[in-house]
Amino acid sequence: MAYRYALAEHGKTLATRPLGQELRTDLVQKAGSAEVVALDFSGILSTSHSFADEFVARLAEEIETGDVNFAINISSASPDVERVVLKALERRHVEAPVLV
Amino acid sequence: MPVTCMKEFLEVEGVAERTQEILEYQLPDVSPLGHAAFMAMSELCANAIDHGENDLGAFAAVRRVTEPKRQVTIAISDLGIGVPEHIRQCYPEWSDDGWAIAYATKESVSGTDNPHRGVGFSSVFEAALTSSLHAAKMDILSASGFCRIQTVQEIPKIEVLPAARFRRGTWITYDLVSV
Repeated sequence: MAYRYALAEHGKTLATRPLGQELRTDLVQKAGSAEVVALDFSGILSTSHSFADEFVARLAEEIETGDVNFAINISSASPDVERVVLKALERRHVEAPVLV
Repeated sequence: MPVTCMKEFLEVEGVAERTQEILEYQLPDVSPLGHAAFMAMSELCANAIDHGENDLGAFAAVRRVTEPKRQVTIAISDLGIGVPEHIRQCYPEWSDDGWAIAYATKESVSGTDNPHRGVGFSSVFEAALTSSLHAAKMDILSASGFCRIQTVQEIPKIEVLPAARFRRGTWITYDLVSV
Protein backbone atom coordinates (compact mmCIF):
# COMPACT_ATOMS: atom_id res chain seq x y z
CA MET A 1 0.00 0.00 0.00
CA ALA A 2 1.31 3.44 -0.93
CA TYR A 3 0.64 6.79 0.72
CA ARG A 4 1.25 10.25 -0.74
CA TYR A 5 2.18 13.11 1.59
CA ALA A 6 1.52 16.44 -0.12
CA LEU A 7 3.89 19.06 1.28
CA ALA A 8 2.19 21.91 -0.57
CA GLU A 9 -0.65 21.67 1.96
CA HIS A 10 1.79 23.28 4.42
CA GLY A 11 2.99 26.20 2.30
CA LYS A 12 4.80 27.08 -0.91
CA THR A 13 8.15 27.20 0.88
CA LEU A 14 9.42 25.14 3.81
CA ALA A 15 11.97 27.01 5.88
CA THR A 16 12.63 25.90 9.42
CA ARG A 17 13.77 22.92 11.48
CA PRO A 18 10.74 23.01 13.84
CA LEU A 19 8.39 22.76 10.83
CA GLY A 20 10.43 19.81 9.50
CA GLN A 21 10.11 18.06 12.86
CA GLU A 22 6.36 18.76 13.04
CA LEU A 23 5.73 17.43 9.52
CA ARG A 24 7.89 14.32 10.08
CA THR A 25 5.84 13.44 13.17
CA ASP A 26 2.60 14.14 11.28
CA LEU A 27 3.72 12.00 8.33
CA VAL A 28 4.69 9.02 10.48
CA GLN A 29 1.29 9.13 12.19
CA LYS A 30 -0.66 9.46 8.95
CA ALA A 31 1.32 6.84 6.98
CA GLY A 32 -0.09 4.10 9.21
CA SER A 33 0.78 0.73 7.72
CA ALA A 34 1.81 2.04 4.28
CA GLU A 35 4.79 0.24 2.75
CA VAL A 36 5.85 3.16 0.57
CA VAL A 37 5.36 6.86 1.19
CA ALA A 38 5.77 9.41 -1.60
CA LEU A 39 7.02 12.78 -0.35
CA ASP A 40 5.20 14.96 -2.85
CA PHE A 41 7.05 18.26 -3.36
CA SER A 42 4.87 19.45 -6.24
CA GLY A 43 4.08 23.16 -5.83
CA ILE A 44 6.99 23.73 -3.43
CA LEU A 45 9.19 26.66 -4.50
CA SER A 46 12.05 26.11 -2.05
CA THR A 47 13.13 24.28 1.06
CA SER A 48 15.89 25.31 3.41
CA HIS A 49 18.67 22.95 4.38
CA SER A 50 17.41 22.87 7.98
CA PHE A 51 13.93 21.78 6.88
CA ALA A 52 15.31 19.15 4.47
CA ASP A 53 17.62 17.77 7.16
CA GLU A 54 14.91 17.58 9.80
CA PHE A 55 12.16 16.25 7.53
CA VAL A 56 13.74 14.09 4.82
CA ALA A 57 17.24 13.20 6.06
CA ARG A 58 16.14 12.32 9.60
CA LEU A 59 13.26 10.28 8.20
CA ALA A 60 15.69 8.41 5.91
CA GLU A 61 17.94 7.83 8.93
CA GLU A 62 15.01 6.42 10.94
CA ILE A 63 14.21 4.09 8.04
CA GLU A 64 17.82 2.87 7.93
CA THR A 65 17.84 2.19 11.67
CA GLY A 66 14.46 0.42 11.50
CA ASP A 67 12.62 2.93 13.68
CA VAL A 68 10.23 3.57 10.79
CA ASN A 69 8.86 0.71 8.73
CA PHE A 70 8.13 2.18 5.32
CA ALA A 71 10.19 3.20 2.32
CA ILE A 72 10.10 6.72 0.92
CA ASN A 73 10.48 8.24 -2.49
CA ILE A 74 10.75 11.89 -3.45
CA SER A 75 8.21 13.03 -5.96
CA SER A 76 7.93 16.15 -8.18
CA ALA A 77 10.75 18.13 -6.59
CA SER A 78 12.03 21.17 -8.50
CA PRO A 79 15.78 21.24 -9.28
CA ASP A 80 16.42 23.69 -6.41
CA VAL A 81 14.49 21.56 -3.93
CA GLU A 82 16.08 18.32 -5.16
CA ARG A 83 19.59 19.77 -4.77
CA VAL A 84 18.93 20.85 -1.16
CA VAL A 85 17.33 17.51 -0.22
CA LEU A 86 20.14 15.45 -1.75
CA LYS A 87 22.75 17.57 0.03
CA ALA A 88 20.97 17.08 3.37
CA LEU A 89 20.97 13.30 2.81
CA GLU A 90 24.65 13.37 1.85
CA ARG A 91 25.55 15.30 5.01
CA ARG A 92 23.88 12.63 7.18
CA HIS A 93 25.49 9.84 5.13
CA VAL A 94 22.15 8.18 4.46
CA GLU A 95 21.09 6.52 1.25
CA ALA A 96 19.10 8.76 -1.07
CA PRO A 97 15.49 7.69 -1.62
CA VAL A 98 14.26 7.10 -5.16
CA LEU A 99 13.46 10.31 -7.03
CA VAL A 100 10.28 10.08 -9.09
CA MET B 1 10.58 44.27 2.35
CA PRO B 2 10.43 46.67 5.31
CA VAL B 3 12.03 45.92 8.66
CA THR B 4 10.08 42.99 10.06
CA CYS B 5 10.21 41.54 13.56
CA MET B 6 10.10 37.79 14.12
CA LYS B 7 9.77 36.11 17.48
CA GLU B 8 8.70 32.63 16.43
CA PHE B 9 9.77 30.13 13.77
CA LEU B 10 6.34 30.35 12.15
CA GLU B 11 7.04 34.01 11.41
CA VAL B 12 10.35 33.02 9.79
CA GLU B 13 8.38 30.71 7.47
CA GLY B 14 6.20 33.64 6.37
CA VAL B 15 9.04 36.13 5.92
CA ALA B 16 11.21 33.69 3.93
CA GLU B 17 8.30 32.78 1.65
CA ARG B 18 7.34 36.42 1.12
CA THR B 19 10.95 37.31 0.23
CA GLN B 20 11.16 34.64 -2.46
CA GLU B 21 7.72 35.46 -3.86
CA ILE B 22 8.46 39.20 -4.12
CA LEU B 23 11.78 38.58 -5.86
CA GLU B 24 10.50 35.91 -8.23
CA TYR B 25 7.08 37.34 -9.14
CA GLN B 26 7.45 41.12 -8.77
CA LEU B 27 11.11 41.92 -9.53
CA PRO B 28 12.11 40.13 -12.73
CA ASP B 29 15.54 41.79 -12.86
CA VAL B 30 16.64 39.97 -9.68
CA SER B 31 14.24 37.00 -9.79
CA PRO B 32 17.03 34.39 -10.32
CA LEU B 33 18.31 35.32 -6.83
CA GLY B 34 15.00 34.28 -5.21
CA HIS B 35 16.10 30.86 -3.99
CA ALA B 36 19.41 32.18 -2.60
CA ALA B 37 17.53 34.96 -0.76
CA PHE B 38 15.02 32.43 0.60
CA MET B 39 17.83 30.23 1.94
CA ALA B 40 19.54 33.20 3.61
CA MET B 41 16.32 34.40 5.24
CA SER B 42 15.41 30.89 6.41
CA GLU B 43 18.73 29.89 7.90
CA LEU B 44 19.92 33.23 9.28
CA CYS B 45 16.58 34.32 10.78
CA ALA B 46 16.08 30.87 12.34
CA ASN B 47 19.60 31.10 13.80
CA ALA B 48 18.82 34.53 15.20
CA ILE B 49 15.71 33.22 16.97
CA ASP B 50 17.20 29.86 17.95
CA HIS B 51 20.62 30.98 19.20
CA GLY B 52 19.98 34.67 19.81
CA GLU B 53 18.09 33.92 23.01
CA ASN B 54 16.52 37.37 23.25
CA ASP B 55 12.89 38.25 24.01
CA LEU B 56 12.90 40.99 21.38
CA GLY B 57 13.28 38.37 18.65
CA ALA B 58 15.02 39.02 15.34
CA PHE B 59 14.66 41.71 12.70
CA ALA B 60 15.07 41.42 8.94
CA ALA B 61 14.76 43.67 5.90
CA VAL B 62 15.37 43.13 2.19
CA ARG B 63 16.22 45.78 -0.41
CA ARG B 64 16.64 45.62 -4.16
CA VAL B 65 19.31 47.86 -5.71
CA THR B 66 19.54 48.50 -9.45
CA GLU B 67 22.67 50.69 -9.78
CA PRO B 68 25.56 50.19 -10.42
CA LYS B 69 24.58 46.51 -10.55
CA ARG B 70 21.36 44.64 -9.92
CA GLN B 71 21.54 43.27 -6.41
CA VAL B 72 19.55 42.18 -3.39
CA THR B 73 20.68 43.20 0.09
CA ILE B 74 19.42 41.33 3.12
CA ALA B 75 19.88 42.63 6.67
CA ILE B 76 19.25 40.46 9.73
CA SER B 77 19.89 41.35 13.34
CA ASP B 78 19.18 40.31 16.88
CA LEU B 79 20.21 41.54 20.31
CA GLY B 80 20.99 38.12 21.70
CA ILE B 81 24.21 36.64 23.05
CA GLY B 82 26.07 37.05 19.74
CA VAL B 83 27.94 34.57 17.57
CA PRO B 84 31.26 34.63 19.51
CA GLU B 85 29.71 33.86 22.89
CA HIS B 86 27.41 31.24 21.35
CA ILE B 87 30.24 29.42 19.57
CA ARG B 88 32.47 29.54 22.67
CA GLN B 89 29.95 27.28 24.43
CA CYS B 90 31.63 24.47 22.44
CA TYR B 91 34.96 26.11 21.54
CA PRO B 92 36.00 28.17 24.59
CA GLU B 93 39.53 28.53 23.21
CA TRP B 94 38.32 30.81 20.38
CA SER B 95 38.83 33.99 22.36
CA ASP B 96 39.12 36.48 19.49
CA ASP B 97 35.61 37.59 18.52
CA GLY B 98 36.41 38.15 14.82
CA TRP B 99 38.00 34.74 14.35
CA ALA B 100 35.28 33.08 16.43
CA ILE B 101 32.75 34.41 13.90
CA ALA B 102 34.93 33.28 10.99
CA TYR B 103 35.20 29.73 12.38
CA ALA B 104 31.45 29.67 13.09
CA THR B 105 30.74 30.03 9.37
CA LYS B 106 32.66 26.82 8.58
CA GLU B 107 30.64 23.69 7.89
CA SER B 108 29.89 21.46 10.90
CA VAL B 109 31.03 24.08 13.41
CA SER B 110 28.22 24.70 15.88
CA GLY B 111 27.65 26.15 19.32
CA THR B 112 25.42 23.16 20.08
CA ASP B 113 26.61 19.62 20.77
CA ASN B 114 24.52 18.21 17.88
CA PRO B 115 26.86 16.86 15.14
CA HIS B 116 24.22 17.52 12.48
CA ARG B 117 24.00 21.24 13.19
CA GLY B 118 26.37 23.94 12.00
CA VAL B 119 25.52 23.89 8.30
CA GLY B 120 23.38 27.02 8.12
CA PHE B 121 26.05 29.37 6.77
CA SER B 122 27.38 26.71 4.35
CA SER B 123 23.91 26.15 2.90
CA VAL B 124 23.43 29.90 2.47
CA PHE B 125 26.69 30.16 0.50
CA GLU B 126 25.92 27.02 -1.54
CA ALA B 127 22.47 28.30 -2.52
CA ALA B 128 24.05 31.46 -3.90
CA LEU B 129 26.31 29.56 -6.30
CA THR B 130 24.23 29.79 -9.43
CA SER B 131 24.95 31.07 -12.92
CA SER B 132 22.91 34.18 -12.05
CA LEU B 133 25.31 35.28 -9.32
CA HIS B 134 28.10 37.72 -10.06
CA ALA B 135 29.33 38.07 -6.48
CA ALA B 136 28.17 37.75 -2.89
CA LYS B 137 29.36 39.53 0.23
CA MET B 138 28.34 38.86 3.82
CA ASP B 139 29.39 41.09 6.71
CA ILE B 140 28.87 39.69 10.21
CA LEU B 141 29.35 42.00 13.18
CA SER B 142 28.96 40.67 16.69
CA ALA B 143 30.51 41.68 20.05
CA SER B 144 33.96 43.04 19.12
CA GLY B 145 34.25 40.94 15.96
CA PHE B 146 33.81 41.79 12.28
CA CYS B 147 34.05 39.04 9.67
CA ARG B 148 33.52 39.47 5.93
CA ILE B 149 32.95 36.56 3.53
CA GLN B 150 33.09 37.35 -0.17
CA THR B 151 32.33 34.90 -2.94
CA VAL B 152 33.64 35.73 -6.36
CA GLN B 153 33.72 33.13 -9.13
CA GLU B 154 32.50 30.48 -6.66
CA ILE B 155 35.49 30.87 -4.33
CA PRO B 156 34.73 32.15 -0.82
CA LYS B 157 37.27 34.42 0.83
CA ILE B 158 37.09 35.06 4.58
CA GLU B 159 38.54 38.19 6.16
CA VAL B 160 38.60 39.24 9.79
CA LEU B 161 38.54 43.04 9.95
CA PRO B 162 38.85 45.52 12.82
CA ALA B 163 35.48 46.28 14.41
CA ALA B 164 34.80 49.95 15.10
CA ARG B 165 33.07 49.23 18.41
CA PHE B 166 31.42 46.55 20.53
CA ARG B 167 27.98 45.51 19.29
CA ARG B 168 25.43 43.64 21.30
CA GLY B 169 23.84 40.72 19.43
CA THR B 170 24.53 39.81 15.80
CA TRP B 171 24.24 42.10 12.77
CA ILE B 172 24.45 40.57 9.31
CA THR B 173 24.23 42.19 5.88
CA TYR B 174 24.31 39.98 2.82
CA ASP B 175 24.65 41.36 -0.71
CA LEU B 176 23.78 39.13 -3.65
CA VAL B 177 24.90 40.76 -6.89
CA SER B 178 23.34 39.55 -10.12
CA VAL B 179 25.29 39.02 -13.35
